[in-house]
Amino acid sequence: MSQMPDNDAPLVLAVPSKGRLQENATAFFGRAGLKFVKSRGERDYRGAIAGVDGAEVAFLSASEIVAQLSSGAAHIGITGEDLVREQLSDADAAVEMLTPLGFGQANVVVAVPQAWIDVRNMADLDDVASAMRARHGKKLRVATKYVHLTRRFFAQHGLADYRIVESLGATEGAPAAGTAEIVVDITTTGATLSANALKVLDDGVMLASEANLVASMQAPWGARAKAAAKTILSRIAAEEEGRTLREVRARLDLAPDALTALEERFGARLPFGAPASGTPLTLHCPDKAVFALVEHLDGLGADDVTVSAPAYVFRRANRLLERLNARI
Amino acid sequence: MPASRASIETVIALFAGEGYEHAEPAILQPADVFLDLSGEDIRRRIFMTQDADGRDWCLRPEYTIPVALDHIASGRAEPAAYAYAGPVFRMRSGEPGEFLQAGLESFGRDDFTATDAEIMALTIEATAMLGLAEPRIVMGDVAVLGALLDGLAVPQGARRRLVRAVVQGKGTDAVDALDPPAADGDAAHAGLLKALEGQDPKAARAFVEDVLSIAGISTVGGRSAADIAERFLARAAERENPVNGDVKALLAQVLAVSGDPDAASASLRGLADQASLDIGRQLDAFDERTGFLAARGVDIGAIRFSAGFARNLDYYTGFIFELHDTARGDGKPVAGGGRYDNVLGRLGARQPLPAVGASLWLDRLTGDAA
Repeated sequence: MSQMPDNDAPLVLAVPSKGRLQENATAFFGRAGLKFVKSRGERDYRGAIAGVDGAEVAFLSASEIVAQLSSGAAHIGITGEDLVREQLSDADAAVEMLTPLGFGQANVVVAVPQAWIDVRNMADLDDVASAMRARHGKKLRVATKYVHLTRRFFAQHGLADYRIVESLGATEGAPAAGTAEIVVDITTTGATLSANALKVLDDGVMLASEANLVASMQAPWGARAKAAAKTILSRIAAEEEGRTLREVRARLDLAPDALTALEERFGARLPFGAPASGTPLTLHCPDKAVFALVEHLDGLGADDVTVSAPAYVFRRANRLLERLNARI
Repeated sequence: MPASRASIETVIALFAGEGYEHAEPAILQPADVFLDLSGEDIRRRIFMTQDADGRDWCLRPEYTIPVALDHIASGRAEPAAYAYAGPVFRMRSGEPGEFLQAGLESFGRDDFTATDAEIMALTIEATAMLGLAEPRIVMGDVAVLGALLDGLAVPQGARRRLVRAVVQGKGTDAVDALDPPAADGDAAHAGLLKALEGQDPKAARAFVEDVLSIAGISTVGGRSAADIAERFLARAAERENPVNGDVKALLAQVLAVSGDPDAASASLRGLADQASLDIGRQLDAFDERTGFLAARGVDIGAIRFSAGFARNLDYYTGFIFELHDTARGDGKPVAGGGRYDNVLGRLGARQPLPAVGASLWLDRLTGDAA
């Protein structure tokens, strides 16, 4: 921690200010019962979370979020892993990726002209690059905005004969425009690359990125900020737990060892312990296992098997909070 | 006076006495040339900035390129010799970004072996004056390796792979790089390769052009159909005629040669004779250089030549050497240099200019940074 924590300082949560990322982030927090409120209307760039004390929301561009997490101006942020890995030279030291959020998926890829029918993987590219350099004295030019990611990835593949041409927009057009031979770009479907007569190399996916909840290791984590983080992360974890769990209730008397077997076979827990005789059995199991579990219970003679989806499951053990607390 | 300041004066005085004029190139340098010559990887080690027009500049990460650029700009036609000492700037983990380097460069002399020996001997002398009495000296010669590869007619692709493996320090294992790379990608091209087999380059090119146009693929991206056809042909040829076992065995033996320069030269001669290769010219020059080194008082027995020792071959074209302080635990050299005959041409000199130089890490020699 680089700064002396001020125990009264609020938690700063950095949230994308525009586009799909903002919509998805707002929806994600909304599901967790965290509603962003802008006190002075839609254009305000500072806000709060309804009913959560000690948290400020900063609406920023995705790349600015990384910068603020790195400097410690924001405690927690939502941003793409691609930007974190690109902008921070030692991302793992500066931030903690608390959890992927399930939206904003995109790949950072190496793409070459389709006309290069002899180039299918990085080894081919390496060969072509060193031949270009040896034959024409020219280095292979790579258009990208991911300067650092590219350099690291190419170094891993032993590719040295290239030059990066920084590109801050319409990167995929660079080969056609003659400003670069190949590109490193972010893509969701690859359609834009294909439309520009480019193809992704077989082993050319540098990073499978998605939006992440990212915590800053540089921010001053005072008591108030920590308390707010606990509230926020508890709700997010409770929503995720609720979304991925099913509650199964049934009329059934089982011996204790049969109950343990349920845990082993279906990952089902007894959140409220073994039922007293004559009271219903309550199980929590992963949503994927629910029907297998129901059939199994049926086989054991269960009746009135009732499956429901809990809105939230708050548990003392919270993966997100544990990850955060382990680092700050 | 800090040790660093004193060391600068010591070194400059020594080199001036040998006719090396003091060069003081600008600290702010165009970044492009360093990226072009040293590769993109240096970008993470140099301090870069942009001017108002968007041009990239950097704080000089070393002296050779700035000194060479100034020499080219001066338009001097006669040979020139420069010495330098001052701060250079590189991002290094665990070490300061600004540190002192000294060195010397000789441009345009055509008595190659004498110049090589002079640069190396002066470097040894300078490190001795700065307190390193018994450096570990390692030496290599990429011209000898190049002549062998020429003589053995190793195909270009295989040659590039071998040389890279040597630079990566793989030693005798580097010969494995002579084999064509794993063929997994080729399965999909088996038909194409078959169709191209035995064709002449012109027909192959026309064929590739047809394939592209039938597939409706526009040719973009700096490589022509001819380039692509040529690569297919080269790969097909490599598969039909891989570098044979004898050549690999010989090169492995060559790369294993090490010892003092005289012993190494004798071993190399023996190996070349066995294979009926004529690299006498290169080895004569090698021996001549050793003779000049001895004449300048260098203890030849203390030099360890290793045929597998090579560094950045975009840069060095002949002999290379490094001086190590055995008391340092990190394996980093305290001085190093060699011959780099292609660099000035690539930097824009009107004709190719032979060049030799060396630099000393004053921070590592004197133990203080700046």
